Amino acid sequence: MSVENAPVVDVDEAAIPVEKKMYYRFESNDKKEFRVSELAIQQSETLNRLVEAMGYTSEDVENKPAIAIENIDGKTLKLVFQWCEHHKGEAIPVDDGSVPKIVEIPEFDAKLMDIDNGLLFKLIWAADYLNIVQLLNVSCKKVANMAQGKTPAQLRRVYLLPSDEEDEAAKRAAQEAQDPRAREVEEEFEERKRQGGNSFF
Amino acid sequence: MPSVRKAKKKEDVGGQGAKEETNWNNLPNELKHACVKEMTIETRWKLRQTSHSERTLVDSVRLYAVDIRLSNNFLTLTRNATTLMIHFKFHRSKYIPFLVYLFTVLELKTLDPLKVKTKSLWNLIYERLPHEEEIPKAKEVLPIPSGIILPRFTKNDMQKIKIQRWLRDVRHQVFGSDPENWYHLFEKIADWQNFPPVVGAEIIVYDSEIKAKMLRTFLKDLLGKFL
Repeated sequence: MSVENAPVVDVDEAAIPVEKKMYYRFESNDKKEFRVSELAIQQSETLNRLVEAMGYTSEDVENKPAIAIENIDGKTLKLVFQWCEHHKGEAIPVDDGSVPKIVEIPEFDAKLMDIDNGLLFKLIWAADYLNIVQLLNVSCKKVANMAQGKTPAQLRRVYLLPSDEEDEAAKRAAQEAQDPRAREVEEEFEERKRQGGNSFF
Repeated sequence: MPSVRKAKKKEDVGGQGAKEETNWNNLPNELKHACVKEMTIETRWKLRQTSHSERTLVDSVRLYAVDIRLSNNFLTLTRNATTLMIHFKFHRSKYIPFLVYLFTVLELKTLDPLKVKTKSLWNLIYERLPHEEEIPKAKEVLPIPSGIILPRFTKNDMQKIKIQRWLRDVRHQVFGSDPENWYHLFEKIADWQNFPPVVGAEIIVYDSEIKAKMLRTFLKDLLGKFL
């Protein structure tokens, strides 16, 4: 049968079931709620697995309480979901162990990450926690770019790096906080060493 | 209520449970590692100088490169699309710690199948890959071969690549001394397509078994002759 002779069937478009887009609800640890599309969630391995395991229907999503993300605040989560919505449907990079790929920051990501350093580090942490590979890549690249062309002294200021002395002091303080007797033992050891004793015991 | 509980043992990302300020120092080592991986060699080198803990961190991150060529005056390192050129004609001894660091973290993806072994003492450590044309080691200026070749550098890339010093050295031989011509040359560089092979240079294949001390001795021997 030629195409011209094929019977024409009137289709009632209203009768075709239209698949509704599902929007999941998430809640940050400061009780801010976000609605995120199913496709956007696929960028996060952690969230994707979670919603798959829960097997929510459209009604469940509306009627049940929002999924709480206990470790991330609203400000950070907003950035994460904005990123996921913009990059929804994109392929997730796979680390095949070969030569590392060059990471380029797209314009949208650059604007999104035009934030203060504290928030940027929170974003890295959130991307890692939620297993969003590409967001982690671009945010790490952004942190790396922050250091570009800086002297070691400038790097200390940018990253708030402690000097060796400050590092040592912090370690000592942490050790003492953990074991208050450690300092006494150390002093006793030093004292015995001064007295010429070979063994502490 | 369903929730994403703490799958990994970590602090909160911001919010009530988080520290006042999240910064580089609060990041777990694996994330610092991921950031260093994205840094250029120069940045890694500078970060390495800030403290012992950062040095340990930077030293633990491998550096992937396609090719490295070390000659008596300079080193070229090709990573993906960019080539870094470091000219150490002057103050050679200052570069030894840098070269030791570089060779220690380097992970080479050299594809040259023609490895010719010589009877060099350093065969124990390295394999030398001789080039078709050899030039005397003492020659200070390397000629640019005909059919000039550079990668597609943009003006910004030019800032990153330490090529200016090398070009400054060869300008009298190749392009004359007119500063105007010299300025136009930099404009042209962006359009050149490939990188000039370093004539007479050797490719040194790093053996990961080598100890840093032996490497230091080798580099001192190689560079020290010209001090």
